[in-house]
Amino acid sequence: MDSCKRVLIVDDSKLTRMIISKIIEENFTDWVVTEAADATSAIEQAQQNQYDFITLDYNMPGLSGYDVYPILHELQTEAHIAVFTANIQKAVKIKFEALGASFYCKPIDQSVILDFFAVEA
Amino acid sequence: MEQQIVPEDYRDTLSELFNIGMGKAASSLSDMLNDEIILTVPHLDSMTYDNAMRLFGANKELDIDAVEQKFYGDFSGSAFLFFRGKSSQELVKRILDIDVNNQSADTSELSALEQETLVEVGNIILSACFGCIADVLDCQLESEVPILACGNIHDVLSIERMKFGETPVVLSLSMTFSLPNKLIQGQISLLMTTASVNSLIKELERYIQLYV
Repeated sequence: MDSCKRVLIVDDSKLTRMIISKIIEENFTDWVVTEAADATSAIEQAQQNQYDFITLDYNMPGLSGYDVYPILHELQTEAHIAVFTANIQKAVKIKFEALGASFYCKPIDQSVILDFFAVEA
Repeated sequence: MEQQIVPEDYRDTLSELFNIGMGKAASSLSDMLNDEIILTVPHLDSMTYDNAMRLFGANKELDIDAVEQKFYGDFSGSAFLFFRGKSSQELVKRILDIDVNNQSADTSELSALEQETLVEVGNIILSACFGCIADVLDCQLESEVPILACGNIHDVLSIERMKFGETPVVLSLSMTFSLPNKLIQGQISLLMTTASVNSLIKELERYIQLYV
């Protein structure tokens, strides 16, 4: 896998952002991580920077992950975008898969995150 | 804005753990109902018992339905799943596939079957939350068989009835879940002693430190 990837973490939970950041820090020392606590901030970041990976929460204040996914997908055509959510209902998974998103269940641990980053390996 | 008893970082972490638990419970309920359940973003507040009673008592003498489940282990307390308005009746009737329009005249009280169903819903939701908290924090947490608590808020949250021995602290998680065309509002409240809240904070601190 190429070095120095850029990752955008979109989640209203500070805990989740911390967990993903820590896993990246421990496994990919030269990767650059940006955090967004809501969809609006994520769009702003995506308008200014290009990312290789985007982790996206579903239930967030304001626009949901489902609302913002198509916008991020359009802005970040080269990025791998995956949804990491506690809302693990089949209907939710089907909705995201119809958009072409990868779907992962919380709680997040290292194996889940590394599995997502391995898509490019 | 009332001062929070539990600092923000711990509330954020606990809120996310409840969010994961509620997600699992919603998945189970969705399978039961064969329909998607829309979940809102959870919001967790921590407050004194008196402030909680003032907040919850805004609708004063209205009767409420709640499922109560005591938990114990590395920290302990009583958890309540409250349903607002007619939410509990709407939910159990939907699960039991009862046509509300064809109900007999008296629909103000839950039948025995409806009560059992509501307790089971409470069990699914609260057990999923406890399970998630215990698993993620890697701590010991057991829960008793849930019971239905009905009456006004003073009856349901009576310290004497719960035999707390001291005035508890209240952690209140507000989260709305809705079915298509049916808004069902639920709220989870944990009543815990100050010592238990401190034990919970200690567990949360240990967990957060893994990722700092």
